[in-house]
Parts: sequence; structure tokens; C-alpha cells
Amino acid sequence: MIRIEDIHISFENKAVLRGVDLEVRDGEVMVILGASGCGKSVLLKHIIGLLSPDSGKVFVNGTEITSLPKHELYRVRRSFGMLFQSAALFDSMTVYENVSLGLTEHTSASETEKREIVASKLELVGLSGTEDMYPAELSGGMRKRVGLARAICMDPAIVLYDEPTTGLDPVIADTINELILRLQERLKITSIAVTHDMRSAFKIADRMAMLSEGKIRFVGTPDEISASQDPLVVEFLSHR
Amino acid sequence: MNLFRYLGRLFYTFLLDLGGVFVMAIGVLKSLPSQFRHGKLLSDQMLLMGVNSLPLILLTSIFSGAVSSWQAAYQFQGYVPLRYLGTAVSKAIFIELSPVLTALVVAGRVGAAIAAELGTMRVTEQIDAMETLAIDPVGYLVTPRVISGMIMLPILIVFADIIAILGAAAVAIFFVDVEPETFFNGMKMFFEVSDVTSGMMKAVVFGGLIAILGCFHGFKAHGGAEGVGIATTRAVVTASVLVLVSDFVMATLLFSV
Ligand SMILES: Nc1ncnc2c1ncn2[C@@H]1O[C@H](COP(=O)(O)OP(=O)(O)O)[C@@H](O)[C@H]1O
Ligand SMILES: [Mg+2]
Repeated sequence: MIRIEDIHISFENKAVLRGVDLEVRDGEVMVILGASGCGKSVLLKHIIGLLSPDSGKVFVNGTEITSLPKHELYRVRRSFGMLFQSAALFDSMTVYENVSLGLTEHTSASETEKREIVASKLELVGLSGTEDMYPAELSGGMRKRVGLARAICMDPAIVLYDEPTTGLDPVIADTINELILRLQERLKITSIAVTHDMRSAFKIADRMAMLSEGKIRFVGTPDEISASQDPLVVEFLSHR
Repeated sequence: MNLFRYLGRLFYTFLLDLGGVFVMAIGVLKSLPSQFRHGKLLSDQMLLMGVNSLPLILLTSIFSGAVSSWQAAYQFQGYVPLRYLGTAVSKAIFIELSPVLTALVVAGRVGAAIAAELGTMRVTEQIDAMETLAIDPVGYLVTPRVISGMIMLPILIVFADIIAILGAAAVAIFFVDVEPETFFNGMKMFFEVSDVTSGMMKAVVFGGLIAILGCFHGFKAHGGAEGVGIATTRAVVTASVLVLVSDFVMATLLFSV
């Protein structure tokens, strides 16, 4: 379980998060909604300790991570995978090297074992046989899927998705949505996705949270959020 | 009033950067044990720095040797016998010219390349991605570059020394009409091994400085392609300045008057 308690952070005097509280249960898909630039990526980066808050706490399975020394934070991070908005593949490495990097660094898996694991993850995201390609040779949708394969290569318990479908055409967006659901069903992964793509949000979410003006404005199931009378929520949903 | 504020701000940033470089250097030291597993990262960097810089360094060395020979001969005219030409020129080359000029060329070539590469990785979130895979970016990216700089620059200096001496000798022989034996005897007359080794020792420091400043500014880059450009410029400027400053400091330590 992940619990976020009263997170505040500002950049150059601009308050981005002003007291965020949120709980994410094991095995659910939590979707965080919010307008562009409202701090969704910043919030996600706090959950995995890439940013540390000015004040507030983040608990991952009971461990408070904002005050952990580096090597312990790294140990906690091994139970995470993260898909970045721009996929953030390592340009100097092939697809195979990208996906297998975690295995290379953290396990003693042999080359054959790594090949096998990478092939199975690439198959899962529908990109079998792309091992020897470089990121520059891939389309945007393919990169996102390689990024997803990399994120799940170490079989994490929690996967964070930053705008997994934004900027993709609807067909590819749907394959990504299905992947997220399949991972949750098959591997019981806890997923946190931030997005402003409402269509995708309603496809994958068990629960949704809406971030607005640095706070969580609303948390609930898709049905609850659809029924909400809160003018801000209604306004946001009207763009569906 | 505004000027004071500007200078104060500049000084404040300078202190912050100094602290940042220091913290990064500690990270490099801490990650040394893990480098044994990363042999390939180091050898890749060494190849890149050494092989890619060599042609440019040979080119600049031949001319810095040539011009020092020409200038020395010109200044000696009528005062100092030309049999000391080899002495003066080789001392200047081994002790100062070759280490410092090579370091400045490498700062422009390698320092810029490091800052641009790591800066791009920073602004495209590749460094964050590495963190999420629980891999320490300092150990993975910075340490191999710093070690490689500290090893490769002294080696490059040896090549630079040789080529600069050949350039100087060529000018002495073909333009100043000094006999080859005279030039090389002059060089041998007061030659000390410590002339060359002190240059190489300085090169270890220069190489480390250039690499860590490239990494530091690359890691600090923000704001897209423009931010990468700024980081690259800063890496080259700060490395060049620090090469000259540290050269002076080391000169006073290595050669007491
Ligand atoms: N490292 C940073 N330094 C300064 N400002 C930042 C940083 N990261 C994010 N911001 C600012 O925080 C705000 C929220 O950004 P972000 O979380 O990326 O928004 P989004 O909800 O679109 O993902 C933006 O105004 C952005 O400029
Ligand atoms: Mg974002």
C-alpha cells in the first residue's frame, strides 16, 4: 500500500503541490487526473523518491521513503517500475540493453536467461524481435511499449505510468490500456497512472483522484466521479 | 546596488556549484568499488576519449612545438647561443606547454561532449529513468568518465610531448638552421625525468577536473536543448579556467623557487 501524507513542494517560489493526501491500495489501478502543468508528474516522482518534498511523507508498504538513505531508497525502488511520459529510453543502448539493464545490474542472470526474460517482456508488449534496434529507429508508440517492457522487466509490485497514452493514436493507446489491465490481472501489480486522457482513464481505473490547485480535489470510483456534483470535476469530465 | 546584487548572486552560485562538484566527487569515490563490475563502461570511455582526441592533439602539438621553437630562436638572437635552443624549448614543452594546451583542447573536445551527452540524458529524463531502475547515475555515468579522464590525459600528454618536440626540432633544423645534434644535445643537457612526470601528474588532475565538470554541468542541465547548450558552454569555460588555476597552484607546489 502507498500512502501520501500532506506533501508540499514548490519550485522557485511557485507552490506546485500544497498538501496532497492520497492512499493507493494493493492491486488496484489508481488514475490521477488533472490539467496539464498541475503537478501530476511531480506527484508521481515523489512516490518513487525522484523528488523529495519540502514537507510531508510518503509511505511505501509502511516504509517512509522521503528520509531514507540512498542505498535503502534504492532497495525500495526495486519493487517499482516507472514508465516515463517520453519513455526516456537510453539512446545509446539497444532495445535489449535498455530492457535488460536492471537485470544486468541487480541480478546474476546469465546472458541466455536475460535473453529469455527480455524476449518474454517484449512479447508481452507486442514487440518481439526488436531487440537489436536502437530507440531512434522506433516510433513513439513503440518507444512507450519498450519503456513499459523495461519498467516491468524486474517484475515490480508497483508500476507508475506517466501519461501512458498521451500523444498516441487511439488504436495504440488502446493496446497500452489493455496492457496495463493485463499486467494488473495477471501479475497483481499495483498501478498508478497520471493522465489527462479521460477516455483512457475510464478504461483502466479502479479508482480515480483529481489533482487541482496542488491538492486532491476528489477521490472515488469511476461511477462516483461521474456522479459528482463538484463544478470543477464536472467541468473536467465534460472534455471527455 | 544592482551590481552588488549581481556579484553577490554570482558568488552564491559559485559556492553552490563548488559544493555540488564536491558532493559529486564524494559520490565518485563511494562508487569506486562497484566499478569492477563495470569494466566495459570504463574501457568504452577510455577508447572514446583517447582515440577521438588524438588527431586533434597531434595537430595542435605540432604547431605549439613549432611556434615555441621559432619564438625562442627569435628571442635568443645575439644574446643566447643556439645550442641552448633545445634546452629552453623542451623544458617549456614538457613542463607547461604540452600539458596545459592539451588539457585546454581536451576541455573543449571531451568536456563539451560529456556535458552535451549527460545534459541530453538529463533533460530527456534518462537519468531519472536510471534512478528508477535503482542504478546510481554517478557510479554508472560519472565515475567511468572521471577515471578515464585521469588515465587518458597523461597518456595523451606523452604523445603531445613527442609530437611537439618533433615540431620544434623541425623548425629549428629547417628554418633556423640548427644542426639536429645541436638541438637534441641541448635538449639532453639539462633534461630531467621529473620534467615529464610532473607534466603527467598535472594531467591526472586536469583530466579529472575536465571530466567531473562536464558531468556536473550535464547533470544540472534543465530546460530542453537550450539548457544543454548552456551546460556545454559552462562545462568548457569552468574546466578551462580551473585547468589554468590548478596549473598555477601545482606549479608552486611542484617547483619551489
Ligand atoms: N524540476 C523542476 N524544477 C522547476 N519546476 C518544475 C520542476 N518540475 C516541475 N516543475 C514545474 O511544476 C509544474 C508541474 O509540472 P508537472 O508535474 O510536470 O505537470 P503535469 O501535471 O503536466 O505533469 C510545472 O509548472 C513545472 O514547470
Ligand atoms: Mg507530466
